[in-house]
Amino acid sequence: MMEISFRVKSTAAMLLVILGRWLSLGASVDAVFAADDLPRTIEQIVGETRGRIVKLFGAGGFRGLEAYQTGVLISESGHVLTAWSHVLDADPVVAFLDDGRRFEARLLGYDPRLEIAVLKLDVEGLDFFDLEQAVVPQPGELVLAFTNLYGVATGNEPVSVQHGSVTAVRSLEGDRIGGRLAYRGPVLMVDAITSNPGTPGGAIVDSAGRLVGIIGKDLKAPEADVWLNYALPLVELRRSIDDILSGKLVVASEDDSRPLPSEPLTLELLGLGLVADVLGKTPPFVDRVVSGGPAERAGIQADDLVLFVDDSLVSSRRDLETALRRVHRDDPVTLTLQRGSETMTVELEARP
Amino acid sequence: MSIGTRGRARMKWIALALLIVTVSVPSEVDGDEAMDRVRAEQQRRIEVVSRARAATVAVFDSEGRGGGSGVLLTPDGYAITNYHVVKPCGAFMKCGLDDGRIYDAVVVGVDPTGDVALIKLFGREDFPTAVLADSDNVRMGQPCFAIGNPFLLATNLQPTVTWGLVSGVRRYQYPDGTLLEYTDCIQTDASINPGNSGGPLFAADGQVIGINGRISIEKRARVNVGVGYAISANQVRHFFGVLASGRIVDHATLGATMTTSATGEVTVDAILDGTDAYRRGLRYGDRLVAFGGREIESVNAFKNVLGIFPKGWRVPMVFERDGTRVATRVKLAGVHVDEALFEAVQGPVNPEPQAPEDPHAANEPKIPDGLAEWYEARRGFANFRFNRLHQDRLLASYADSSAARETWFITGKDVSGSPVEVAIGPDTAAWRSGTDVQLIDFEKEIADQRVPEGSNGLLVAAFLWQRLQVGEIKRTGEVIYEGTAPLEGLVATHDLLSATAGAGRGEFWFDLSGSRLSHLEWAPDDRSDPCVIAFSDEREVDGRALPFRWTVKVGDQVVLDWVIDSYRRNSGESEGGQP
Repeated sequence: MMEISFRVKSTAAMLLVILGRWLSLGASVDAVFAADDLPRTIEQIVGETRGRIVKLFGAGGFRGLEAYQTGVLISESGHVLTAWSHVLDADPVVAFLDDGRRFEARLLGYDPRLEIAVLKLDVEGLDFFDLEQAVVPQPGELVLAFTNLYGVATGNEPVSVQHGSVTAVRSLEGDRIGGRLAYRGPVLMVDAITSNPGTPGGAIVDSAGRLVGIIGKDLKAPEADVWLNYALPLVELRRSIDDILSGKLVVASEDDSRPLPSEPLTLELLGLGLVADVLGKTPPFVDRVVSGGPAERAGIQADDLVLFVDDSLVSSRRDLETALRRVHRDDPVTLTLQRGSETMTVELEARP
Repeated sequence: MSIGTRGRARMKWIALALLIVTVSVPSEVDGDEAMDRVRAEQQRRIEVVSRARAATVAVFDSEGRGGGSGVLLTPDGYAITNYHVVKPCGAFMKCGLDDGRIYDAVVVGVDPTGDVALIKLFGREDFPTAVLADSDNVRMGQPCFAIGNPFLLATNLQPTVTWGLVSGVRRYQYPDGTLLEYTDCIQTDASINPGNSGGPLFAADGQVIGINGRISIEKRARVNVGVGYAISANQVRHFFGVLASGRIVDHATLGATMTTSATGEVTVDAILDGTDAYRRGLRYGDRLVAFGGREIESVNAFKNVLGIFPKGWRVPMVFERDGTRVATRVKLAGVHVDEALFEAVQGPVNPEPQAPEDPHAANEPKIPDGLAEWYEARRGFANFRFNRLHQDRLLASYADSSAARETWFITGKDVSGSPVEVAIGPDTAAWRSGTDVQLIDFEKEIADQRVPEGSNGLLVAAFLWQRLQVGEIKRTGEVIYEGTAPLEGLVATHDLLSATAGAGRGEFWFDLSGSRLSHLEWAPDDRSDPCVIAFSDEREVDGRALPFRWTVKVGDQVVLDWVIDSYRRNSGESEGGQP
């Protein structure tokens, strides 16, 4: 009897959560849940959240590539978490805060395994998402998406908010559409249409106003002409964000004055063929390995993603070639690879 | 870390939430009671949606092939939809309501720039209606719902309801050329699809906050991707009374462009010297503080608010120069040259004649029974029938032309007590003030005769006024009902009737309540301030209510405050006078 009564109550509670919080049908309904959670209407969450979203403008504007995306503030001193994309391949990347203030954003670091980046704005005292609050939402939970979609907002105009629910938390590994994603961990699938121009880097926020995910890069199933609406769960990003903030995944210094070796390594010497560098920022995916070459002997396979050359982070084919130029062709080189959800390290020598 | 302003705001919410809990919530809510509340809320929502559905219109062309949606705003059948819905329909359309019936409808007025059209449904005088909200109060994140006819699914005339949020407000969507520009619009993630166009977007309380008209698609297919736009209810409200004129309606320009200065202020970048903005004192470099009742913080904000007003309206403007603020009202010019707009809607003036073997074009819609009298084609009008309707209404009390040949003698005094006399007849207009005697020469261009000096044509204005009184205004030139406009503020308070005279144009302003003639504006050209007469102190004289005070202004200057002693007719009999 007790159990039944409890179940009735919790079903009613669920409905009240949905009706009260999400259709904002009145403070009294909202307030029923004050005991276990702060009551918030969507308008209140929007009010709390919009100041933590940044509109980013950078490279693009050609070949169907937008020159804008979204970022979220993760510190009071202007650290912006966003998706790693062609948009950031600009100097400068321009960031607009919700109040209209304009900043030039410096790329602090990025993680090609997750395809996320952290930018830094020269500002203090901002409101931000507390990453310590990160939780994994459950399927069925209602969420809001905050994005710079279609570049429809400029200056001090707020980003767009959409509603939806989490439909699944699962890995895209094995999915044809997930094949273009370096990250193999679980993602948040949502039923809001979050895959739109400018949405990468956008915030997925739960009903308590907590940041739970970051919208990843565009993922399209070309066969079906369908885009995937997904987000990278914040909990999966935290270690990487910490690494970037602590200087482990920072962008290599441009003014490296060490002399270059007279006879550097090349991709050809390693027997490595990479995916063509169309955009200048194509991730260094292995396209093929030369039969019998050093790469094949080291066990490298097509579709492996090169993450590091020795200790240098490489995010593009161009980066990889630059890093190889610093290695003498007689010296061994260590590559860190991602294959599926695994990361592995291999050592190669061009002239064994 | 410090608690910023946002942190403090959050603490306020917590405090407020605790207060609500303390005040209104019992310490424990049992399951049954909670379910009762859920059911009550659900029932309330069902009722709101039910009322909203009833006022939503499924618009189909006369062949039943294309169409869109609309929303009824008056019990006698006036409904708003999109211009791009009405355009392919031609003059007549079929409209379905959720009562399962189909009603004939006719186009009334169109606004191609703002993508709004007014239509009228026939067959009832008690159509269910929706109410326009004040869309300036719409907030990002508030719930909303769209009702309409997506993919023309409503073949059973039952509309589709889709829920969502307001994703953003005051959005701007670029025009196609100069048409279909969405300014200050409401963005929603409620699913809006082809066929929803022209239909209402409702707030949770069932008031209309916008007219759905556009979605972002770009590289995606032509279906909703969570990004739709609705024309704001306030823009619709501004245009409603103008569209009712049956005209092809234009949007407005200020004749000045803005830029954002280095300090982030919005300043005048360029200004045309023939514009009312220039005459009101706006100059290059001035800071625009407020426009159309809104603080202006960005160039976009200015463009946004400019787009919600019809051509010809005067709207409040505040600008600042050297720390001094000027608050004024500025008259807005049109975006288009009239003929360019008409051509975009109606094609060239002399289109190629129809091929002789096809005298009755196959796609010429049949006029529904009884509706022929409700459509009248005319250049510059979506449906001149409605212009005639309002002209007849406003001129009903000036229809008696038995006095057409009379000459009226109006005598009075100015503020200094000096006599001012005017005599006006069918081909006479004379002015005397002391030794200053002026006559209008009707053989010459009437607009060039701007007497008495400094009035910019008061005597011609008085002539137009008398021609109206004796039922002869249509003989002076072309008379058009322009629609409604505000005298002050932003709420339309007056009906406007224009009448050309020579190269100039007069505008009669009638109170919406009671049709009293309150003002007359005479503009000899569009580059100088018009002569504006405010009429007051009406008294009945031989069956006519005549004003015994004329306050004449040019720009901000009162050029004459004329207190009338008497109106006399050419017979010499006294028609009235100072008691």
